[in-house]
Amino acid sequence: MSLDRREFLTRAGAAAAVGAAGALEAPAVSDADAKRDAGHASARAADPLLADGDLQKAVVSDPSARLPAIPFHGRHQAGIINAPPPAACFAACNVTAGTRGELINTLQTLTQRARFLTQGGLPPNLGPVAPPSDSGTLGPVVPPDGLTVTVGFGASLFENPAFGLADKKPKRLTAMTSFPNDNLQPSITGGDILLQICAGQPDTAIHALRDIAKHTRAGMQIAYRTDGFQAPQRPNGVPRNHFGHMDGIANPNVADPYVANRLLWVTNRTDEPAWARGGTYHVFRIIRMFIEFWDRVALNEQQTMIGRYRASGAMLGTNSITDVLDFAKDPQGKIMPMTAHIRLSNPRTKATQDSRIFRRGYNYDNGIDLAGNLDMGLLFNCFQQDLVRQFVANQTRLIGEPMVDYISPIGGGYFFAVPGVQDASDWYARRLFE
Amino acid sequence: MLPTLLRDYPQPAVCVVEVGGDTRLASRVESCAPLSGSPEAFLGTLATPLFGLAPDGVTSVIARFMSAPARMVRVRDNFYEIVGPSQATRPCGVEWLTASGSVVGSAGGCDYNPAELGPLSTYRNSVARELSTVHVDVNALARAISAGDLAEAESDWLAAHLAWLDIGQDDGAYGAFGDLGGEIDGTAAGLVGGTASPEFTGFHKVEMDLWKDGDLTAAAADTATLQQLVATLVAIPLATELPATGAGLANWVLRPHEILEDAVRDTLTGNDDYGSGTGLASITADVAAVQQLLGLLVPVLDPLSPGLIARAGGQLSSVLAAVDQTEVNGTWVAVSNLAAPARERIDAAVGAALETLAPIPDLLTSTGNAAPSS
Repeated sequence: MSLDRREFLTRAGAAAAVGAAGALEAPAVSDADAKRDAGHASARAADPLLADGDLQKAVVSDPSARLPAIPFHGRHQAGIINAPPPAACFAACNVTAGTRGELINTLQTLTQRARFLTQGGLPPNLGPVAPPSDSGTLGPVVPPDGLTVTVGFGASLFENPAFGLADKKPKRLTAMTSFPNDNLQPSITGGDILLQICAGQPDTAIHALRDIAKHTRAGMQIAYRTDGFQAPQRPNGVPRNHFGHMDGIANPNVADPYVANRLLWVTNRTDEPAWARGGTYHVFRIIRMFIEFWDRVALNEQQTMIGRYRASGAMLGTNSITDVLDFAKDPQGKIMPMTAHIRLSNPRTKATQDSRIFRRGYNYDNGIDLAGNLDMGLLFNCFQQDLVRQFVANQTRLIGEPMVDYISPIGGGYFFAVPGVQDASDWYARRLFE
Repeated sequence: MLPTLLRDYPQPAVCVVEVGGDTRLASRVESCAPLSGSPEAFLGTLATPLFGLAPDGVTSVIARFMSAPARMVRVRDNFYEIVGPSQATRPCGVEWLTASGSVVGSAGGCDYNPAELGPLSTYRNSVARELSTVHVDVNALARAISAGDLAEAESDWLAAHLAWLDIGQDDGAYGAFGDLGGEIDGTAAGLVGGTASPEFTGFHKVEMDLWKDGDLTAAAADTATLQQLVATLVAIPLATELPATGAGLANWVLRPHEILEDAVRDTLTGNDDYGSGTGLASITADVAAVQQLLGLLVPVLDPLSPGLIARAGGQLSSVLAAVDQTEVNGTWVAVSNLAAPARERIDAAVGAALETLAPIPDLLTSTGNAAPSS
């Protein structure tokens, strides 16, 4: 005897219960961490552009606790310089809005959803005449859990004749084209809008993506998506990637506004359209790693390909993770080969200091390939003031490096992370349309 | 100095050993406690540091290890000590540095086992022979295309491609044939415009012309390009690409496992199939190339790891057996068309062989000897 669905519906139940918000805890900072930061602060070089910022600590997520809210409004979007929490969803979307007005509506809706989700709260009760407003996957009250939503626009959005934005495109923004060691797959490359959604827990990030998709279905569709994670520091230092090596150790000191305004943000001194001030170029690359092959490589070879010791993360020839090898004293690469990844990427000279990039990567893990190998790798993210002067210069220096045998960039795109939403009356890229 | 050493290093026998052989410094040695065993044994003793003396003006030394990154060590009062990064690692040489970082002298030598020179020379000769086979085969391919015989051209393409793979030179970052190898057998990955890029040349371009497009005119032009590339390669002395130097031997010792690693990454994923569906034929050629290299390395590897080559040989035979089982009426099944059980059997056999082959570079580089002279 099958249950009649209509009968079931007439017996449908009561209103949702309202529970108290969960306890919120800030991540602990150990004494060792505080000491290291203090020592490092005093050691910053006279030239601030050459100094490294504090280590980005992984925000370790206690299963029973949620992270505090990150402010949504501001000059810049969140999700860029704040320490990356453990969970992330990336979704590249294509805009299906047909007119400029529809695009604006979509962006306003996107803003409203991101504003609500990042601050948390009680989802509205739509009563008996509609399905629930919220999926309920985070419980009756949506916790902020450190959620950030970072929105970037691809070149294709500006070039779409329906929106008339071509002359407002950020000047260095193009579609991402292939570098010689890439293997870009068209189905996971490009996109009009990139959503980078980060949170303390995977369910928080997925809940946000799901909510945003629900509200923007008419105006945009997901072209491709992939989830990422950051491991806890093991045992300390910076989280490791799938090669077992710490990733993202040396980043420019963007906590210093002098540095941030020269390397990270588009400002009124940057040659870009006025609406873009406060934004930054966001490079997103899906990089497959051939970890079976890597695991069969001798440790010495791994270390000389990368330029750091695997256990400690210290640069070759140094003793601790924050030490910097003076390349001027190693002109022939006898301590750290000239072809080591970190040396190619950041030669640490006056000439290359303004080509430094700010990295914020996540690991991904997706299944297997046709040869039965694990499909795992890096969701590479970097943010910079000038896509060409910084990322492209970096990546060009890396062409043909020894590590290319073990990785394959297969997707992603160039995006412009729009300026921050300033207040409750503002919305994503409002000034672009003025 | 000696009392400090005796206090800090209470091993039963301690002696200051001079690396570099400058006998004028011998007068700086204050005294030595009795040493048992040979100096080399002492230097190689677990957890025993290397002590050395350096001339005036040398402010630091670089200690080199076979299986660990180099270390810079400060020199104080002409004296330095090196502790290896692990108990199993001993320095094989040092270089003396002045304050400005320039090298003013060196001692010892971190280089490859001279026993590898013989097999390398044999390998070079066989590579030369195999290259001329490729040259001949590619010319036959050109003739079949100009005769308008598509079926014959496809068969000649396969013969030439397998002859190329028999050499075992991959076209990746370690490829001894460098960019030229990539132009001869590279894929369209990384090229702006993909297969439409004018930089997409070589075997896979011709493959695409023949199988995907059935275009004999394009195939004729692309085969002419391929002939030129092969002719250029044949003209380069192999001593240039496979030199008997530390760097050359370093490249060469990576080959046995790397041929198969690249096969997994590029062929067993179907990534380098441009229409012929002959990936499994490529695998058999790759296996043959590995077997040839292992055969040459028997006298060098067997003493270092008895049974490794025999074990690898058995596993490589399993790969060939698994591939044999997939043949249908004498034709090759494309990797992407294999049923899962057949594909998994091949992947398993290749994976097992790779795990066995993985230690070879470490084995071949773990013994330090004087650098070869050519």
